Amino acid sequence: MVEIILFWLFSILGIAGAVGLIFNRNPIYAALSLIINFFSIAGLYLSLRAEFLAVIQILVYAGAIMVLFLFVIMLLNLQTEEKAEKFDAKRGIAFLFGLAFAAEMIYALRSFASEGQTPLAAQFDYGQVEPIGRSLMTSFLFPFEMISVVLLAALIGAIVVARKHTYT
Amino acid sequence: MNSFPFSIAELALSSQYVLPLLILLGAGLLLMLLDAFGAAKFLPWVAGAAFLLSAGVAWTQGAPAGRLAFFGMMETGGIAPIVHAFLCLSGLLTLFFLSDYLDRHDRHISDVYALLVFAVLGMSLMANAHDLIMTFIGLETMSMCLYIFAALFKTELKSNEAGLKYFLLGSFASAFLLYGIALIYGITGTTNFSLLASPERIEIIQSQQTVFYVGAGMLLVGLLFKVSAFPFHFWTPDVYEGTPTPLAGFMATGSKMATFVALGTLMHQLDMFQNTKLLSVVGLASLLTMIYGNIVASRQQNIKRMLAYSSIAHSGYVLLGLCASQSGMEAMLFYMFIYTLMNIGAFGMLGMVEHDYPDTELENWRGMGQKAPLFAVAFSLFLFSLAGIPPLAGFMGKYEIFIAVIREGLLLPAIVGILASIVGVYYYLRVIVVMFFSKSGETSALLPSASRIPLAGAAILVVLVLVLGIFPSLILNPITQALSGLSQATAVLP
Amino acid sequence: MPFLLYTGISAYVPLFLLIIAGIGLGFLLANLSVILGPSRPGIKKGLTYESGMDPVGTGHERFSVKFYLVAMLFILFDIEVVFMYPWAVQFRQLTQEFGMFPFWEMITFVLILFVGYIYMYKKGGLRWA
Repeated sequence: MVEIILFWLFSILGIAGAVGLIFNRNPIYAALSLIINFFSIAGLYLSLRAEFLAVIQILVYAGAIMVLFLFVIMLLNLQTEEKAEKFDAKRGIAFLFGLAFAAEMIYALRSFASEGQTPLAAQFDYGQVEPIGRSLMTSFLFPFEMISVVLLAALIGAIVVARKHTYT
Repeated sequence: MNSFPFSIAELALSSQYVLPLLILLGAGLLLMLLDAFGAAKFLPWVAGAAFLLSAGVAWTQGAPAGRLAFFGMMETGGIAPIVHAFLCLSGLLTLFFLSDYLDRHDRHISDVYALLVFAVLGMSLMANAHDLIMTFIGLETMSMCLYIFAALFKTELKSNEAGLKYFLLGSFASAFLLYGIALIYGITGTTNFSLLASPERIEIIQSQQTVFYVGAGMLLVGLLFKVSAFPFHFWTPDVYEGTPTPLAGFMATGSKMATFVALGTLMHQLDMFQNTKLLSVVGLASLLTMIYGNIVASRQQNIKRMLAYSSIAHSGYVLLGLCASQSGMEAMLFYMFIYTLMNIGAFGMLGMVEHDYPDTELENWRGMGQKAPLFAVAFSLFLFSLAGIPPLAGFMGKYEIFIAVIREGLLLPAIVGILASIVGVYYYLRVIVVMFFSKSGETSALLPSASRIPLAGAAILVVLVLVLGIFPSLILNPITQALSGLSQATAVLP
Repeated sequence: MPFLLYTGISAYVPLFLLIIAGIGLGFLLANLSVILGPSRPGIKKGLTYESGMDPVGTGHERFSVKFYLVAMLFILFDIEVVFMYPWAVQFRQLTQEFGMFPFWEMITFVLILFVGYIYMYKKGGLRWA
């Protein structure tokens, strides 16, 4: 019972956040409603027993990525958006694609529900923190260490590209 | 509980197998520290020594395929050592031209050397991965460095465009690759190459063919983007144009070699695209890539853009080679080695004179044959080799590819490829004609004012291109030897 | 499975209640003073600086790009923490099986990134001026 209530709560909040993101003319408000969306998706992850994903969703997306979004908005000093342009062909095509995607998702989810399957993560211990920590430290040890190189390269990139250009 | 084969001895052995990679990792860290503490003068030398040492260690480490390290993550036998050595070589050759180029443009960006080492590390991780996760991490490491190379001259508009374009499109392609991996993992429950090739997994794959096709197709899209094959080529000329020239040469050779090896492993060792329509998709892409690259290259007025389009065309030849089975892998490695030599040579020499003959416009090269005869002759040599004119190394590369394809019975694609490369001869020769057969009436100096190191690099490359054209077996034999163990290579997990 | 500690999303209900209570308290306190306190607005009271300069321009000033660099560096080290989190959760279990090895694994990872930190510091990535 509690799960169903929470599911509806998070779903409605998530959709409300997404709608707010699109319809807010002020970019900062739009970014902030995206945070609501991120949090409610984290809640949905929890109800799917993907605890690690839920934590990462809040730690990385609602935390770090959001900071970047807000900084970009403030960096470019975006003002409240003017009224949208007219409904042209490009928007029409985008609208059609959106509809097609929505139809596809509804179809997929309905067929999924009718088969009576439970999500994979609920059957196993996939999304939980312990098995992930375990794999990282044992079988995925080498990839884990090598990820530090990706981070280092990104760090050098941030310094090279964003630093004031003093070629010493 | 403690069923995992996890012992210090095992780890020590694994570390020994991946020692060439660890050398590069250590060298990259050392370069960052040296750079941070202001020892910028030594950086190219340290990087060069690291490449030499790493390649040397790898070369002596030959072993039959299936010698896996770190619980089936990395392949360290078979072609892995030789591929690693080739990749190190492409980094080393780039170094010859890089620091002179940066000095000349008055941009002493000492951070590139660590990035160059990390890029080669990423390439090697990707090419010699034995697990899709490792492939992805290698590809990301490599791409991250290449994005930064593209955006290196950040005050220049062209470089900004290149960096942004490459970053956005490249991350999009990486996302495709990752989604493909996720789908494959979703149906098989593993990302390990050995497990994916096991009979039980193949059974699962056959029962879930649609999802598997979509997954493998997305994987293919991600990889084809990196080698700039036909439908995913459009970023190439703009990105290469904005990238510092020697690094553009590196991008066109090292990253493509790594991606081709990864692709070849998926195709041949894993049969990922066999028995499916995807193999013919690769073939079709290769034909279109050759035709498109060569035709558009012949319309370019800028030498750098021309070389960028020609690199698209060369990707087409190699892809065609990959469609031929085992012998195609051999031809591919040989071709990519030769291509590394001549393309880094061409881009490097282009970079040498870029400052004096601005913007690499063909128009500005008028009469180069009189102004700097020795330079012009050496540059023409690389162009002849790229065009595939005997007795230069490029001819032997093309010959191996087309023979492998014809042996496979793919006569028609081979003919298309040969015709396309004949178109290619036209635009390489056009540059030579402009250099030698148009008057400029200016003073002559044998060579452009370049420092000794890039000249030495160019000289080494000229010699190699000449020698390998006559004695291709110097490189072909080790490749064949390394590949010969591959057929019985569906390795066993520890 | 020994690490299936999961008991369902109901286990998080107290957490959700805490979040709701936090948000609710914030709203309550912010609006309580408006409701309860006296409100007599005037022109002078509405000024930003009562007897200072009149403010010019918008309140949204454009950011300098160097803040953005800090934000990017923050993300990188945030990702590092992401890897520490499952490691820390599983640490006790792992040390019982493999001794101190998991500890050294993480130390290696952190040391590699520490080189990046030194590099960043010496290159002036954290300098404001």
